[in-house]
Amino acid sequence: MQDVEGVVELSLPMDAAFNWSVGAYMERFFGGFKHKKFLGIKCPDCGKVFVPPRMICEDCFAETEEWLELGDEGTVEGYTVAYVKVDEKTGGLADLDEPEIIALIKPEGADTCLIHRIAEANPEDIEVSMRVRAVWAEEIRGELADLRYFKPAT
Amino acid sequence: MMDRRVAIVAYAQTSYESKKDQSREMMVYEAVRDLLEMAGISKAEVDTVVSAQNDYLEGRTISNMRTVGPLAAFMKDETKVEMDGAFAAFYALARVLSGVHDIAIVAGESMASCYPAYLPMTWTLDPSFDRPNGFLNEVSAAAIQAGAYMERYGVSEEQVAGVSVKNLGNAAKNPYALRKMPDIDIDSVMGSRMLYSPIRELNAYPLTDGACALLLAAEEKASEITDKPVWIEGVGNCHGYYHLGDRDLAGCDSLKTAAEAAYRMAGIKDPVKDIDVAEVHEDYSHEELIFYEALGLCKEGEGAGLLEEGTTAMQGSLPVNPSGGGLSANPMCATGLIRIVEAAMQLRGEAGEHQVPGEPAVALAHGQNGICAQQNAVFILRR
Amino acid sequence: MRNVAVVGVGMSKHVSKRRDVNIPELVYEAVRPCFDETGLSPKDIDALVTGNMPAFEGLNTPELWGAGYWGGLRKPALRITTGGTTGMSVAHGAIYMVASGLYDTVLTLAFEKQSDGDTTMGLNSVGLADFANVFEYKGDMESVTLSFGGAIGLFVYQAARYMAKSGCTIDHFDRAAAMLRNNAAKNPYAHLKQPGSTAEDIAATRMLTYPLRYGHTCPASDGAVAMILTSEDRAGKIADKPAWIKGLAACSEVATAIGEYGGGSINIDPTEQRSCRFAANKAYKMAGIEDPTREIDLAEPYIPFAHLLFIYFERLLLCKEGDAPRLFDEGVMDIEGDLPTCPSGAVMSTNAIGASAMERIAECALQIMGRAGEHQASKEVHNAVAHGLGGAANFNTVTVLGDKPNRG
Repeated sequence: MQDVEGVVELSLPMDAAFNWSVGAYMERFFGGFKHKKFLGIKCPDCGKVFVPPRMICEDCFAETEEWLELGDEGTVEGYTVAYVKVDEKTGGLADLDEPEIIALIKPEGADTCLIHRIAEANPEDIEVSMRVRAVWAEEIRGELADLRYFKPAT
Repeated sequence: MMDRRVAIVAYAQTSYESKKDQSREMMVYEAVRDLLEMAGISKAEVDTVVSAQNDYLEGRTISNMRTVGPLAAFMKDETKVEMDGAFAAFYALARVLSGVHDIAIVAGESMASCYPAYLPMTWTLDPSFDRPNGFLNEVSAAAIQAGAYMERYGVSEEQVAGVSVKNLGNAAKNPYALRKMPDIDIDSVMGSRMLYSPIRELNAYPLTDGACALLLAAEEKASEITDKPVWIEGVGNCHGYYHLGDRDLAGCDSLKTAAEAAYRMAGIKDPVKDIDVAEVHEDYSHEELIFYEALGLCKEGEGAGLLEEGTTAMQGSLPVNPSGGGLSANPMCATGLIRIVEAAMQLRGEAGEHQVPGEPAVALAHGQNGICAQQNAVFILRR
Repeated sequence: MRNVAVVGVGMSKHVSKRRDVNIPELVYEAVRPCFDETGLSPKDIDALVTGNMPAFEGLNTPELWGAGYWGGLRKPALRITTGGTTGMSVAHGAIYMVASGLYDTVLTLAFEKQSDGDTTMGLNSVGLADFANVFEYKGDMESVTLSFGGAIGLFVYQAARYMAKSGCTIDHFDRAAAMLRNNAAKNPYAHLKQPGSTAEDIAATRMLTYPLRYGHTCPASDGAVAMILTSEDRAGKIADKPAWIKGLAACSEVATAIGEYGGGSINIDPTEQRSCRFAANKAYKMAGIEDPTREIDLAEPYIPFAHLLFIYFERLLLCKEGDAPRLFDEGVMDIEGDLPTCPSGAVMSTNAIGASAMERIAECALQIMGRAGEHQASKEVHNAVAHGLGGAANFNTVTVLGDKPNRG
């Protein structure tokens, strides 16, 4: 047996393409993007409105039923200013050229929040409870990328 | 509530490093070998082995397939939880309580130097929305929580930095810790690199390689192995809301529920009075303040006050994280288990330079799992 | 050990692709019937124990996302993942949670959504780290996977070795496969149902690597299973005929044939499966079963490939070594036989990997409860044995169930 200096390191890149089924509820949600609207769904027991929609209300263990058409505005419930992002290869935190605002946004008419970016705004101007409005892509396809970011709704 | 008493009778930790110059199998073997040596038993006497490891952190499917040997699990009833190590201890406890097993090895490990840092936790995100959007990761989520907490109770960044100062200062006396900063002060924390406001580098855990192990024994066997058994008097485990927006981010309900269950089982009526030392699993400094409140150590919103009073300092009446906590070393899957080990060490008077004075008799240990402590496990230990 | 019983069983249908549901929704399809038939709701559940094999979905700890869909909100929870044995490891976790006295009524579930990922890739990733040193010496992914062959690689050596040792022929495997396909056709939850399937049909399928044919292999399924377990105090109040857990054991040995880092293994005979014998012995002892060849009425071993039916019938100590082919020929393993084996159709007909080993327990429970419908065994089932296999055939789990709890 030979003496080995240190430990041999090996990097094994393994490519795995995943193709997740989002489920019928999310598909319908993305369909709502075609009309630049957020679709929500309501729990029959507690009345909680979920955006994005969920099949089950976890508190009631009930199947949600009633779909609601909501606008595309909301309020900021929380936020952070990002100075880094996760590098897609190394997974480390790489510096951003410009800070970005990531916010917890409650769509109007909903009882839940979604996480998205706020742009066309300065970090110093962001505050909890301010109103924001969705900014949609030029070409709407009924998919996640249609929702580009939110901006202050003055 | 428990038919038989179960104790922690031995433990072992590897040093925590940013990059260990050894394979994972050797690292795990070291921890388990040291564990059995401390216990003075052979692996033949072990009935079951429960490890905490995660396929994505290991980069291997069925990650425990190749740790059978190093875990002393050959030909044993061996299993794995894909969670923080405190949950492996929880499961091992259940195995011993059932009466089917008397002696259990519990181990947890990971090597951040081998996995792509902050990517694996992004793979816990909902693949229909959050994950493809790319805004959320464990740090940005923690930052949103930090902001919510600080805004609700008017807590300043300097006050939060006080947790880092305490823990990283404590870590200087812990030979195992990765990040030790004996001269740390508020300015050093406030001057460190801003990641996601208000979280700066010194408010966040360091990427760590490391392993930890402990031995559980049923009452009859415990006294054969050690004359200082640390009894598990109470446990709690709670799985909270997943979506950040569903949670009250200014608190940690799931920890509150887990703690209440553990307190009830252990007969803890007034945590601040009844508990002598605590090891909590904080990945970020603001989390520790939230945890004080969720554990009932102070009223909601008063975590910073508890810290500033000095109650949770090494010399305080309820030292928290004398080991340095997660801010000093956070090998994912091991961290919660390390808290249990460190708490046991305190009760046995074996924490060396970071031993809290006063011969503590009752300790609390905590582990978290999932982004922003979605799940929590709490242990009450008594010597 | 405190007595624990299965009082509720739920399964989703198993198919190749469920594009209409995401993971939490798919699993809900197994959980909902479990609650409905027992009349319980999440507030009656004291804990949740889950698991799957994450490589197939690319999701890290998916129950963090899904548990709320399954009634797990605010409950104590555990996630257990051990590869092919996952389903049974998860069930064991749930059994211990009740047996410990910490919790009374536990919901346990296991699942896989293979269509969300790439099954071959997922299976290959099992062996990837073992061949690390081969890659270091510039071995390439293709030739490595050719020799290891995804999941079937190791099993091919096992099948060939078993034929040499026992004297059975490939015709036995064809007939075993036909039996399982016919059984599956009677199981509403099974994936591949081929009623009227004959040994000739199986023999006509493509040979993958001798002696395994395409017709001897399992599908990749999307599916989930859920069970509710409870203590002796509550069992009779929830189910008319609970299925009692009488014995459980698991045993891990060194990876068969490949070993660690492709460095070889002390397990050079992949048919030996010492860990299965070991676990079976322990479980039978706990169950008070002295002669499993007589006292076990039904078996659900983990059979993703036809030849395993014979190997595990023997390793579960249901007959003398080498006798399984003869007993199969005599009809002992038929649904109408003396020791019906895999009346469910086995993993070979239904394989949502994370769920499969739990489904072995669920199927035994259904048989004991008399609720297996068309695939109910002809004889009365008093004691049954369920088995899970995983890793590089180095993880074996065994659970013995019965219609009466252990006494004394």
